[in-house]
Amino acid sequence: MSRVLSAWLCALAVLVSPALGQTIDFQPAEQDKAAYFSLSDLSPEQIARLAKLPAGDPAWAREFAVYVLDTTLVEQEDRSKTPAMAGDYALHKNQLRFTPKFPLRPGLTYQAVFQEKGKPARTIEVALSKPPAAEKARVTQIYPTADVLPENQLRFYLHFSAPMSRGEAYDHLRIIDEANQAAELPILELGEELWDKSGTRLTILIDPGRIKRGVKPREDIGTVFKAGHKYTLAIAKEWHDAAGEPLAEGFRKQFRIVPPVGDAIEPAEWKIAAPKIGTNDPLVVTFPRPLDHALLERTLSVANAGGKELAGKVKVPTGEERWEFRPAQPWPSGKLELVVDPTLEDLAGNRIGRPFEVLGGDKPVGGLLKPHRMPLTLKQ
Amino acid sequence: MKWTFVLAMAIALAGFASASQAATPGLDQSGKPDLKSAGPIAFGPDGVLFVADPAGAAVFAIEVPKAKPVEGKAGEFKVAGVDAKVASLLGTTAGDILINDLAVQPGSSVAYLSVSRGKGPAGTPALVTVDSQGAVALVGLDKVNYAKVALSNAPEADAKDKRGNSLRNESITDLAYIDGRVLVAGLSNEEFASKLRAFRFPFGKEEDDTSIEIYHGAHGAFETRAPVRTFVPLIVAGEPQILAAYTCTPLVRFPLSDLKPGAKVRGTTIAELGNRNRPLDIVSYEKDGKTYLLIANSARGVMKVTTETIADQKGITEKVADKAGLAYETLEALKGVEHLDKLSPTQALLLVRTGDAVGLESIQLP
Repeated sequence: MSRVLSAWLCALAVLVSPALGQTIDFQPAEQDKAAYFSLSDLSPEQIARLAKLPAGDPAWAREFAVYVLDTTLVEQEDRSKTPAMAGDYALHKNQLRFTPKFPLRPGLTYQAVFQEKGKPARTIEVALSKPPAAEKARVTQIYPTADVLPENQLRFYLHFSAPMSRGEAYDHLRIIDEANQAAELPILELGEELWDKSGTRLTILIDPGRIKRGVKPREDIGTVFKAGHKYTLAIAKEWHDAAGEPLAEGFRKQFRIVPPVGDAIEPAEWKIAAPKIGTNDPLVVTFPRPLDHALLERTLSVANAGGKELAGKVKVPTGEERWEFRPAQPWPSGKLELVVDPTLEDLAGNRIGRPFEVLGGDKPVGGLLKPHRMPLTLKQ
Repeated sequence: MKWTFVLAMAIALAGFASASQAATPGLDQSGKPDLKSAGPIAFGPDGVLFVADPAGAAVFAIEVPKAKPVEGKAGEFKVAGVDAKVASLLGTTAGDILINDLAVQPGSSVAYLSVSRGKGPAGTPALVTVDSQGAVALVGLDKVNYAKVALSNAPEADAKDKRGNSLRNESITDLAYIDGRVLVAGLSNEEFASKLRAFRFPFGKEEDDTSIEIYHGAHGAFETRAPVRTFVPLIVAGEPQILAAYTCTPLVRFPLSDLKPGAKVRGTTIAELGNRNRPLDIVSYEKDGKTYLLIANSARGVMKVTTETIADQKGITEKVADKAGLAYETLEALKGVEHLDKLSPTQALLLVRTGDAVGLESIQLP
């Protein structure tokens, strides 16, 4: 769902104040050229005066400037207090050109003002129409997919169908208990918000201060989830996408809580169903308990004896209790290894060789610093 | 006499040479920095502004124009609707921008804001200055002296770079300059990891850089990884220390000298800020010969923390009632403070959100 602003830029000059002499024009953006406003038919003395001004001098904006017409702007009537739009000025023969520093926003109206000393200001307004409304964004999936989660569930991934706006995530998320009460600050609120680069996946962390044992918030208010109870993660539809539109609808994930999981991940407990050499059948690894969806997608791989990773397709079926790998080329004979990145975590943040919480502090880091390697025996 | 003449010539030549010198030390590039986003910012030596670029996984050092120096008290700030002003400057509306961080140019009355124009992933970064009169200006980045250092991913993740790299991202929660190094605190959007990186400045080879995992030891001796959400460098008993707020709330300290490759750094808890606290920003300041911390805290207003006993603090290792460790008081009237920085030796500058309005105001350091 891409919105290429320049493609949809459709400018309508709404009002040109009548007068003789200089005309104000707007040139919409073209392929490689940015949009600009121009003041034409300058007199020789105007040109001479402007030519003397250094670049960036505030005097340019006092003569000719562009403003966003926005009814919510403070002190709009007093233009001297409204910042003009940033941009570059250039003289082209007897024309003064102002090229805004940033692309004009569809849906906004801009006003170019020519203020000659002692004369009334002359303006034009350019209203950029909004592109036709695209399909509204929606939540497509929440991980973990399981509806039974441990009391120390650490993290959820929220997937959206289109890029979302930053800055309002925590306003639209609630964790509601069986009595329909919303928990107070259950989610770690970070100004940065934990989005991926495409803006379609948000990571939320349950407040670690209420998960970690011996930490004040947990001791004072207790955990967010309590074993034996049901909760709902509710996403409000008022959440805006990157185009400023709310979601098509909200989303709810209901789940039941069981006791916390505090053990390290044990690869020895994994069941590996090995495929046959020469086929493209999937290698299937089954875990005794669900693991983190995002980390499963990227922390496991198969390598040959030389350490080279085999190309292929990874699949993590619903429930996140299995990892399947289908090779691009038929399975070769020879030594193969399942390679596991040390950052693999389960739903509570436990890793291989290191639980989320380790008792007894002054020990070495523990856990893995290098990938975990397991030999694979394929069927003949 | 002759030597005086030679000396005078030498000084004149040196003056001429430095006047024609292009860059501040450490800024080895000239042109337009390829900034993909503008997140946390902090000033370094010689008026260099460090800008964290989480989308580009890099940190930039950018030369910014020198401001008129201010002796003693800076101008009073009371800029209402600063978000609307910044938006207007950027040719859009207040609802279309994000103000990411605030840093005051030392010795001046100029506040720098790092901004996103557009709230989606395609948002354009911008640096904007605001003065005490409320005048806003765009910091020109078309031709500046700058330097750039890349934030490498965790060594483990490098191996998986081809697959899944577009989803895994690291947010940068804070950065600061101390003792010749730029410190960057980051938090992954996948594995629960706390990464603190230390880069030498001027930026050097990768081997000079250190990436450390930070741990927290709670009462009952449970130890966990502890992401840092904000920190401030502080000299304690002559030694550079880092005072950091974890995402699980304790305020900790650890010596800068602990930040060595492969080291396991565990902060000493020096204060429990209590539950429902979300420390957002910390600065240190001097008043009447003593050092204090000012912490912007979304739930509880702004906190003033004494640091007198930091050096003695053995760390809080036992269960305590509400207030523990370093003494602090809460200035409850100052609610909604999202960012703060020192403005002058006697003032702080606050970015405050009350309802929909965002303002920049100065206060006397308490």
